[in-house]
Formats: sequence, structure tokens, C-alpha cells
Amino acid sequence: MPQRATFVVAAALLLACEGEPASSVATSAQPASAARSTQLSEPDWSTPVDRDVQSRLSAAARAEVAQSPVPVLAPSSPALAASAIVTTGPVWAAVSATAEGVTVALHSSRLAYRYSDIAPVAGDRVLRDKKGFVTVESNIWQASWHEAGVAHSLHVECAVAGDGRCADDKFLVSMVESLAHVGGRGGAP
Amino acid sequence: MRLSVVFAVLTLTSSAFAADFTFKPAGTLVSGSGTGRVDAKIYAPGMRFPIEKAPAYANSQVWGHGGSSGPGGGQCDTENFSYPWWDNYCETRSWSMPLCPAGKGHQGQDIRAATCTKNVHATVATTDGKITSIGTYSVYLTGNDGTVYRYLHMGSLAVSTGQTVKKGQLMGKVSNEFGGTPTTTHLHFDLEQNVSGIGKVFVPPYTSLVQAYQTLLGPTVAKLDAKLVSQGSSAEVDPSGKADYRVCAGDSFHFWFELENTGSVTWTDSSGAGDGQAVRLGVVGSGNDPFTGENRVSLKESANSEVVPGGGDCSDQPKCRRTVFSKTPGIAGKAPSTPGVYESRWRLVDELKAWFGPEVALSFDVVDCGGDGAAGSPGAGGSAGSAGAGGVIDGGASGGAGGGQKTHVLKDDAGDCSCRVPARRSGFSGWVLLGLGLAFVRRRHSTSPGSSQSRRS
Repeated sequence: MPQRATFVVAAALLLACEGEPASSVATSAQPASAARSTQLSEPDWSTPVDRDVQSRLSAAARAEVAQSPVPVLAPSSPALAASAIVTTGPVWAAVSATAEGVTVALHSSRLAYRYSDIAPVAGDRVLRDKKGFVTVESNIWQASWHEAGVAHSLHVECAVAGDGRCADDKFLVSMVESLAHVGGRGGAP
Repeated sequence: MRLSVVFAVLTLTSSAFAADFTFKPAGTLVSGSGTGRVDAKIYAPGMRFPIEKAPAYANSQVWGHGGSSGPGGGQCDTENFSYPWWDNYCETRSWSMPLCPAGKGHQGQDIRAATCTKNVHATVATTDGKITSIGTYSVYLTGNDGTVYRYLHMGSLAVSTGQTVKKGQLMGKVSNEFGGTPTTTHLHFDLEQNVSGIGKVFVPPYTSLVQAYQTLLGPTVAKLDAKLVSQGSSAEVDPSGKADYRVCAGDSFHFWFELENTGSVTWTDSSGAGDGQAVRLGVVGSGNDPFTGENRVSLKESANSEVVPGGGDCSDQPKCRRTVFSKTPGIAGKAPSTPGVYESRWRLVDELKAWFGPEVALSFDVVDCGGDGAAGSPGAGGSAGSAGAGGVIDGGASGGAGGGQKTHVLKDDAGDCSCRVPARRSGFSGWVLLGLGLAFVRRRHSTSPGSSQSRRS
């Protein structure tokens, strides 16, 4: 309950500062102003926890997972799972893992910003049976998608330029597809 | 583009940089480098600038000197280390970026520090948060709201994954790390945010960086700066609260913005090349204002065509320190025929140099008055509260039954979270009210059969 209270206070603080940002702007030829507001989704905790992958996490990582306000996904690769560092915030969780010359960074959030001048856009890729996006910058690949009521992004960065895993999106997509649910605050047995 | 001497500027104070700082509008990319996103929203309000000290220069690595598509020369070319800033979010790339006009583009903003020397210029945390990942050349800082602030190509890291950091805390140094094949010395900075209807996406960082940089530079007087003093309209205050004002579809009305010159140079609109010599009120974003059908109002059309810093405490004659866009009774607008809430959003611009001062805006609920605008026309009067950018409305509601004008009077600095409060009448609104009243009386006199004017004729 104290955690829940902390979250409620944090969410309230976030929402309190979202009233009428003085700098928001719409294309002036369009009706309505571009206000910003927040939306908090309710995560779906029904996906079973993958105990095998969970067991590969360090004790510190498992302890942090237990605090997470969103379902935590983690790489199933033994080396990456063992190196995973889990971090959580009021409305989000992150997993960072570095092994075998690659760093993966997964960020998951249940808080979304709604901008009145930004229309929904459906992703042009299918990731974990959901529409999502794949992009790359500075040789760091990024995938984003929604799952279990939460927005996720996965970044894959190769330590050495020229690593074939970062030559295209195949390794990224395989990492996305192999992510496993390892728990969270709402998913505790 | 003006050149500056890189090493000489190191000896200057931040106030000197503040006076010189100019930036291209959001969405303006280097010619030929793609189509930018014209978007003045600040996606990370209140963030700290990611490089510890000024000066810093936001511009493209790829399209600048030393870049693969640049004009030649080396990365240390002085032009790379000069104002104005250039946006390079959405610069041409080949992978998905749903917020870019082309659907593809650069994910963030390239920033150079004061010099091209690597591992000298400190980077700092933009917000309170946690370090959520560190790769070979990437550092991810996540704020309480889940916004991810990403720094690429740093060296001399001073943080570790899982660490809690405070805004302004040392993160590392601007460098050229890139997995063993160095890039130019710069910081690639981007913002990943969960946007409703899209998901976690890279949002435009440019305006957030401009705001953060201006904060870093401090309150020293810039050459071009302004504050909103009042704004208003002859339309009726919107009783529904959906907008500031309500007006019948197709009806004509007026609105105005009173702005004060808080910079250090005089504003004119002589189309000269000097600072402040081509000042206009411009529509923010692409396209025209929905009520005027235009995208500029010249200073020459305002109440004071020569706005002087520290000038007279007035707004209606040359050398006053304020002016009103435009001359009495204001900017003429005509409501669109299609009902809906429309916004008229403007900002001062020194043409071909920079936008400056706060954005100012009024919203209007255009309603269907049954095909006869006059019959159902909402009358003028009352007050509404729309805080323009950079200001907060002060005071109580103004009255104004039947024909009263309303004006919003604004105070300095709203802080990060400007909220609506009731408006009050200003001296300007009283002046306008008096003018309208006199005009009304004169009109009555001129048309009344019993008036002296009628008798004379």
C-alpha cells in the first residue's frame, strides 16, 4: 500500500503540471488548440510469468521486478538475462542488459501523453502479434509496440561497428519476439 | 550565416551568448536535408540543457561542415560553432519516424559544445531520474513520467546503470564515441515519449532544447525579446468555456495582442537587414490564420511602428515601448463557416532571422447561429482567460455587459505550469471601450433626426 500511495502521489504530481502548457501549439489553420494531457493505462497482468527466464535474473533484478508498476519483459537469452539491471519509476520499468557484444535497453510505461494535434498512427510492422514500429539511428535499432496495456520500446546497440547483428533489423526483431514476462507488482503470486 | 571565432568565445560570459543567441524556427532544416516537423510544442517542459555550459550549437552533423552531406571543410569549421541554431529532427533518414512529415527521419537533435575538442565539455542530467541503460556510446536517463532522455557519443562517463541522478548532475563529456569508428564530436540528444495513439516514439526535442538553453543563458537581455501585456477580442466571451471567445460562423470581429519590447534593439518593419528591422507578428506553424487568412501582420500596421526598449510607457505612438497588433480596433477577422473551436496563434518574428518572444494565442468557438449571424450573434463583452505563452493572467473578471471589450493583462513569468485564472480589464481595453463608446455616441448623433448634425444639414 505505501507503494501504491507513492504512485498515486507521483501520478497526481505529474497530472497537476499538465494543465495548460503555455507553449503547446496546433497548426493554426486547424480547429482546436494543442493541449497536452496524460493518460494512465491499466496493465493487464494475466500473462503468466516465465519462471525459467525469471530465475536467470539476479536477485537484485528480481527484487526490482517485484516493485514494478508495469509487467516486466526481459531477454530470454541466458547471458543477457543474467546481466540484466532492472530499474523502476512511478509509472515505468526499464531493463538493461549487456552481454556478448550487444546492449539491449527495454523501456515500458503506462503513462502516455495525449497531444490534441497528434492523430493516432498505426505501426507498419507486426511485433509480438501487435502493430509496431522499427527504426534505427546511429546504428542503434529501436522497436516499439503496445502489449498488456503498456507501451514498450526495445533498443539494440552493438558494441562494435560492423557487427552483423546491427546491419539490419533481424536481430532486433528476434530479440523482441523472445522477450519473456518476468513479473511485476501486480503480477505477484 | 554569421561566423564566430570558436576559441575567442570561450572567454565570454553567458550574458554575451544570451545577447547573440538566435535560432531558426522548429522544423526549419538546412536546405536539401529533408522536411522538418513544424511543431513549437515543448515536449519536455522545464528540462535542463544537456550540456553544462554555454555556448552550444544545435545543428546538423551530416549536413554541416565535416559531415558526409555537408558543404566541405572540417568539423571544426567556425560556422559549425555559430548561431543561429538549426533544427535537425526529421532530417532525411530511411527508417520509420511516425511524427516526421515524410514518415521517416532523424530521431533527435545534434548539438555541438563550445569547441570541437572531445572529452572537455561536460554533459549533465536534464531532469531528476534514473540511468536506465548504458551502451557502448549511449546513455538513457528516464524521468519520473517515463520520458527517456537519450545521450549518444559521450565519453568520460560519470554515471552507471540504475543510478539515481539529480537535474544538472554530471553525466559525462561531449565526445565522438561510436563503437570504435568515431563520429564527429557532438552530442546526439533525443526524447522518447509514450504518445497516445502511437506508442513510444521519438518526439521533437528542438523547442525543449531552445527553452532549456535560454534558461541556461539566464535572464540577460537578448537583442530580440518581448512579453505579452494584454490580448483580447471584440467577440463574446465563450460561456461554455470551450474557448476564450464565441463568435457566429461567418461573422466579422476583431482581436488584438499588446506586446512590449523587452529586448535591446528597436523594432521596426523597414525590411532592413539589421536586428529588429523586419519585425512582424507571424502565424506559428505552416498555413494562415483561420480568421484573417494571412500569416503576417506588419509592425507598420500596429499602433506603434517604432517600438523602443525602455521607451515611453505607452503603446500607441512611435517610441513607446509597447505596441498593439493591430491599430484600433484590432486585427480584423472573419469566423470560418464551419463550426468548431479554432485557435489564432502568433509569435513575433524578425523576418529571415528568428522568431522571438512568447507565443500568443486566442481561441474562438465558432457556432452556427442559424444562418443569420446578426440574429444570433454573441454580443461583445465580458472577459475570458487564455494565458499566452510566457505569461499568466492576473486579476478578476471584467464585466462588460453588452458591448464591453475585454482584455487579458499578463504578469511576468508563469513558470513551468501556466494555468488559467480570471482576466481583468487593462488600460488598453478601457481605451478601446472608450473609443467604441464615443464612436457609438457619434453615430447615434449623426443618424438621429433630432440631432444637431441632422438639423445643420
